[in-house]
Amino acid sequence: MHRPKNIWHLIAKRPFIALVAVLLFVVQAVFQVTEVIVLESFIDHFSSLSWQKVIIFVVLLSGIHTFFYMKEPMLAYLKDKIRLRVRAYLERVMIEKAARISVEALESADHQALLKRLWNEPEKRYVNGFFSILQILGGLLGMAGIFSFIMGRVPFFLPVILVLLGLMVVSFRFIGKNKVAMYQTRQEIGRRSEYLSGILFERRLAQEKKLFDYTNYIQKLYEEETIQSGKKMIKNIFFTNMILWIYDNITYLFSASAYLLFLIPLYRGEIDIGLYIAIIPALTRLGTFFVAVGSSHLPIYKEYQACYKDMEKFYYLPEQYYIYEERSAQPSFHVIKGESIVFRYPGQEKPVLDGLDFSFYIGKNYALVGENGCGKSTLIKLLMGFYKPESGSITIDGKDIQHMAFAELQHYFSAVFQDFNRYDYTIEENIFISRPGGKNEQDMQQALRQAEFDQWVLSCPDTYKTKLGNLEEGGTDLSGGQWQRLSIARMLYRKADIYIWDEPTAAMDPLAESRLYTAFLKKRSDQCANIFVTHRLGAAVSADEICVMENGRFVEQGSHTELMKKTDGLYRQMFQAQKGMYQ
Amino acid sequence: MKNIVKALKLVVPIAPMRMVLYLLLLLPGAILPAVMLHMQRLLVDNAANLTREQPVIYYVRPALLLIGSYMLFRFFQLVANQYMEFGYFRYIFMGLDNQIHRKSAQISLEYYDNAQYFQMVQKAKHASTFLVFTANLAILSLVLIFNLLSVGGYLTALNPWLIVFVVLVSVPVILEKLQNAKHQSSLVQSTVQVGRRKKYAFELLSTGDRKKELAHYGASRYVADKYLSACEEADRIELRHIGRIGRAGIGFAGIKAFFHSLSICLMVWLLMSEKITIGGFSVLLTSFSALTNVFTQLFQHAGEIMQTGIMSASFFSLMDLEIVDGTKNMESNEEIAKLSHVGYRYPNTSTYALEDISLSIKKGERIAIVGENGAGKTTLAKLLSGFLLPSDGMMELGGIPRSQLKERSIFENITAVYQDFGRYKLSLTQNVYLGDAVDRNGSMRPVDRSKMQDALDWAGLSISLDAEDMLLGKEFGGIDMSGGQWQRLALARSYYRDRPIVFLDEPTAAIDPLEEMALYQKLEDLAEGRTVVLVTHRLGAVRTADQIIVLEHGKIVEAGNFDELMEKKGRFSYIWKEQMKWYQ
Repeated sequence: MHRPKNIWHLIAKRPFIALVAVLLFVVQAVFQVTEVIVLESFIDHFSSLSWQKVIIFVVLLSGIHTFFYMKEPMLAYLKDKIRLRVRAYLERVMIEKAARISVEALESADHQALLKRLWNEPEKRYVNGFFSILQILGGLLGMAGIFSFIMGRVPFFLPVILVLLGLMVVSFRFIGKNKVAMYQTRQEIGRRSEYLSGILFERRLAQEKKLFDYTNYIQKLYEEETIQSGKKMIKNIFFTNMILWIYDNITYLFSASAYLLFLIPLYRGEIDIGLYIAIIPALTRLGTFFVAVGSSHLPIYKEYQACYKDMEKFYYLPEQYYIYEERSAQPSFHVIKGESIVFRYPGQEKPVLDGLDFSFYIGKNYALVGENGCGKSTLIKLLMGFYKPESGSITIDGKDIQHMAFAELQHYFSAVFQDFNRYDYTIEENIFISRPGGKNEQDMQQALRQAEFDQWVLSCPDTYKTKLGNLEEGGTDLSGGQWQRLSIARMLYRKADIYIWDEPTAAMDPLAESRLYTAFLKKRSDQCANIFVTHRLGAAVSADEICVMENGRFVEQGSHTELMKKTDGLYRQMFQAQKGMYQ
Repeated sequence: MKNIVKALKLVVPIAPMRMVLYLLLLLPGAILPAVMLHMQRLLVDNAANLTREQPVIYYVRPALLLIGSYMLFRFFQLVANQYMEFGYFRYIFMGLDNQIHRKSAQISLEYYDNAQYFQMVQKAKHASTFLVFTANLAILSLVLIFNLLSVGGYLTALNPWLIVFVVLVSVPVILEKLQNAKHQSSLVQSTVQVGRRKKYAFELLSTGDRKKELAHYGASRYVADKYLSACEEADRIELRHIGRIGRAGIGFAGIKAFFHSLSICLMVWLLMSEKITIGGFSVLLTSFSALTNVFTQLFQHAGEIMQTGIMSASFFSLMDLEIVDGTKNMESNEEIAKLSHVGYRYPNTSTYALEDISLSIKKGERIAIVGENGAGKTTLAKLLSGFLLPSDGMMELGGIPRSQLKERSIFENITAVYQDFGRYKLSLTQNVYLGDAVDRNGSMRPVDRSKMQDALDWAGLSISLDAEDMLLGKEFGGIDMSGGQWQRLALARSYYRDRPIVFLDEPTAAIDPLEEMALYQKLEDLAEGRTVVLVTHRLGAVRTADQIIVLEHGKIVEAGNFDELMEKKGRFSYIWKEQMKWYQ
């Protein structure tokens, strides 16, 4: 992503539509002054005018108003045109950036809130920001016209205006600050309510929801949350509104004071009643304009600025990104090693990995076993470069992976994670996505066959083109185990040196699991390694090396036979426990 | 029109007192403008006939009163606006959301499996915004009518002709709004699907869990492209749309301008023929646009109410969805379930997921359903637990045909652990309490502290109690939990929900071996005196079952207890041996 462009850059790039809008505002300002002049001369002389002159007056005034009417839909159309163009730009730029943001950065609640704020029609904030400035400039232009017209006749009006303008600037600052704060809280405050309500619409929880019948309870939590956040907001907003009220009255005093002030020259006979009457609608309009500046135009512009600030923050979010490219030869290596690795999650005291050493060699199969929370999955994330160790190093043939390009590193791996994705796309897209860009049908069929999913796929009427999930109409939903097979096929479709199986088989039936594992664990390949993360020890038996993890380290390491020899070893204990269920 | 009445009937009773208060806050805004007009006329007429005989205060007083009434006017407007958003609307939204929640709780599980249902719910949620608009517009219209009566009454006193023209000026507005409503609704209809596609792609790219895989594959760009192609489609649709709206808008502006010109003629004629004073003329100049605005708004509201009528239809189409439910309550019976030749077919599919299933479950029995993926295990469990109604054959639960039973009364007897259990970003205690929070009448049960502690201990969930009110899950800044911890929490939840029938659908998928062993022993305790239905791949867990049902391609291929099946040397014993191999 380039540094995000602000609205002015975007307008400047293709200014034609914006210029038309500016022109409309200029004409409006001119017509506002014309209206005053026309009215004044009419009122001063109406009792002595010929009917032709009266007609001219009516035509002039009607013409001016016709323009005022026409201006609205024209502006709305121009605004929409600009909005769509800005949207097209923002959508492209923002999704490109979103695609680049690193996994670690996405896991922070702050960043999630930022994304949530930004993905809320930013183009509207951009365009409204631009138009609020246009409105202000157009209004000022009209004001300047009217003042130059009356200033010559009523010079003492000037200091009054200056004092009022000063007061306005002061209150703008107050309002601006509060509005920005309000915009941010308002965006975030609904997030929790939305989550709670969302639980009740989650398809995967439908069964649990109905059986436990917890709708009323979640609803209660949702109500409490909504009411509470509402109260928070109302406190916040009350203060701002009172300032707004004071500001509002000041601006109105500005136009109302004209009623009073103009009495003096009228009293002295310096101006005619025609000007006095003609100027009142103009000044009322100016009063409305000033109210709008404080209560709407400026806050809207401030919202745009807040949005743009968010956009810049978004731009600086850390990236970890590459686009897959098919290579003629798979890069290969000999060994991946870790030395005294320490890692802890942000805000946690206890390290998940605590001085861990490991080496995984190509051509061997590893099983990573251990209790939940012992750091198995964390190790995988470090290995693949998603997290950086606090201390210690991971090297591939002696080269630190920290100094390796992300793309380079990823080409060594193919992984399927415990919480793998279920893409609501077609079956073949679900496979091809692990080597995006190309479509190798043969490889896909082979991967499906290896995952033992090919027969089911072929039984579907649309075979590989079968739509999955509920995104598209007519999509088929798969069972947990079927999604797992699909995700394994996806992993196998990708070419790699190390295949990582991070507990993908939890929902698969044991017979299928044993067939899969026989095929992969017993077949040794010199070209690649497999790392199985598992808590089913049966599956680990035929691994070349079983690594038993506890408290962030490997406590036992060796083949099944070796580990079973340790009489009070952890592995032996666990294995006996599972075996016991079959006796 | 029917929709509008329906909408009002729905929205008004949600918070009637709040609505009245809101209305009262709006009223000063309706009456003060007439006062202000009168002050203006006095001011101008006095100024026009300026003589030095009157004291200065005679000229200044109307001006001061004008300013004072304006201050009051704005004050009430601001307070009312604030009250509207936070004191009133929130409650309406909540009330409507609650109705959608309740409805979707009743909807049969079958609906959750298709995209149309999701669109329906999404549209209903969207429509609830329009329902709130309807209510607000009705209130605002009422206030505008007051405003009109006060200002209009005042002007009519000046000259009755004026009202006619203001009405005429406002006529095109109705037509315009009706036109817009049609466009708006067609826009929403045609962009809802592209919107879902965009949202889906964005979620893949913006949540850490989902992104991990894409970042690894180098496929982020691929998904981003999908997002962009959905965007392009949305842009195309909307571009056409704004063109249409723009052209229509200019046409209507022309009509409005024509009528405005006519009223200028009238004003000039009234002044020239001395039917109004110069002060009256000045009032007309200022009030013309103000009054037109009132009319415009009123007609606009009327138009928008029509529009919300069209838009809120989606809300009612969800609400009107027919819920088929029986009338009888499930009662305790020696025979929990009896199926004879039951078949089941998911809606809109031609193949049977289950075929010719006959079985009987007695009270206190332990049933295990085993078989390969896609054999129909989960579907059978869903039938037995009352989620689905058989397409063919006869099924009785507790001695009463399923079709006559109230769905809820079946669930009342059941506790369960599912493969797809919830990871609720609530507190620890709330997560457990969730399992048995609501009683038969829909009100909250008290929290049973000691049972909760038992449940947590039983599931082996070692989270210190001082953390019990902390939120779980990173999403809202709470404690991060591993998959296994979530699984144990799900077990504790089901334990806390203490019921005579237990459904276990792969209950230990993410628990480590030592714990799993212990857990199965505990599940044995839980089974004591209860009826248990266990769906599993792990044959090790089914030894003690009274009845093992082996499914293949939706049919029962074998049934019996462990010893019987092993003797038979059929399908079951084959799978058993395969699994045993790993532990030799």
